[in-house]
Amino acid sequence: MSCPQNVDWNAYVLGEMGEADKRSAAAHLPTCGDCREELVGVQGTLSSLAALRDEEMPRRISFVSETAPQPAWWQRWNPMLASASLVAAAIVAHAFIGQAPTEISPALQSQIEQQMEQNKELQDQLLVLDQQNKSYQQAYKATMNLVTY
Amino acid sequence: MIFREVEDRDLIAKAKRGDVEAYNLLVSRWEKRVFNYLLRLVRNREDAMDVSQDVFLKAYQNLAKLDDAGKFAGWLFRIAHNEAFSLLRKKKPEGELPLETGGVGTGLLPIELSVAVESALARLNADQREAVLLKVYQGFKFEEMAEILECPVSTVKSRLYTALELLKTSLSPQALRSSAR
Repeated sequence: MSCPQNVDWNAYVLGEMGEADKRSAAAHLPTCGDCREELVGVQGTLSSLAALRDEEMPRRISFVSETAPQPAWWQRWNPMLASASLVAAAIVAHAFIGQAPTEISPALQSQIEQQMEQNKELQDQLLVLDQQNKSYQQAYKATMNLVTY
Repeated sequence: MIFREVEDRDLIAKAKRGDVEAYNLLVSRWEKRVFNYLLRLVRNREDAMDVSQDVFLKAYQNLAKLDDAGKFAGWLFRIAHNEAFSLLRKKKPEGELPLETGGVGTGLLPIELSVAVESALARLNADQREAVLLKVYQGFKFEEMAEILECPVSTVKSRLYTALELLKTSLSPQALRSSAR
């Protein structure tokens, strides 16, 4: 380009020119054929480049949670454990707020002991399940799984 | 654009606190831009897809290091740039790559022009191509590009202007007409 003004038409079109310089360049344009040609060239190139459209992705990116969702307290109880607990609670409640017997009958005593034994077994099972749950969660946390769909 | 930045800030803050769903939302807002940037740079869809996944995984792992959420775009593209060039370095030196120009027909339909542009971009070296991608297609300012590319603004401008000069020749009406024949 032979124009002595040496205007940066790339910066002009790309929005990288200050307001004052932009006004000055715009004022110069009608007076200079070289600059008009240069500007048309830059605009033409950018206009052609705009023909290239974004492509769709072959698949989307998504991450899964590092922490496994925690079950609610009521979901942690399985029905067998829950019913056993309810029976135990009912027996205890009956013992304290029922007819307030002066002495516990041998049959009831035996039933309570049997239930307590069963409770202990269930608690042991619960502990094992809890331990398993923790180890699954640790294994899950150990990897940040990347999945795509 | 302002709303987008505000929403991004919110999502970034949530993701920093471990909210993966918020991060997934953030990914969904940026993945197409990052993918297309990488696609033009590495010029292979599967590579671009794999690198995109790596970029967002790295971004997630390093999100705590992002001090200013307003600079997320530049920071993300900086990761993408590093990952893309790491891949390009592993592959053969660029040299003269074969161009897929077979799709150009006799006229200048949009799809034909798109193929011609793709070919013209492929003829640039990786630095020049990246300068065009960041400025023309991603709309970054020179200063932001300098941060992403870790080089002076003068280098950014030099790469971009050289690229535009080359593109002006290869995308001139005469060149397009002759390639369409």
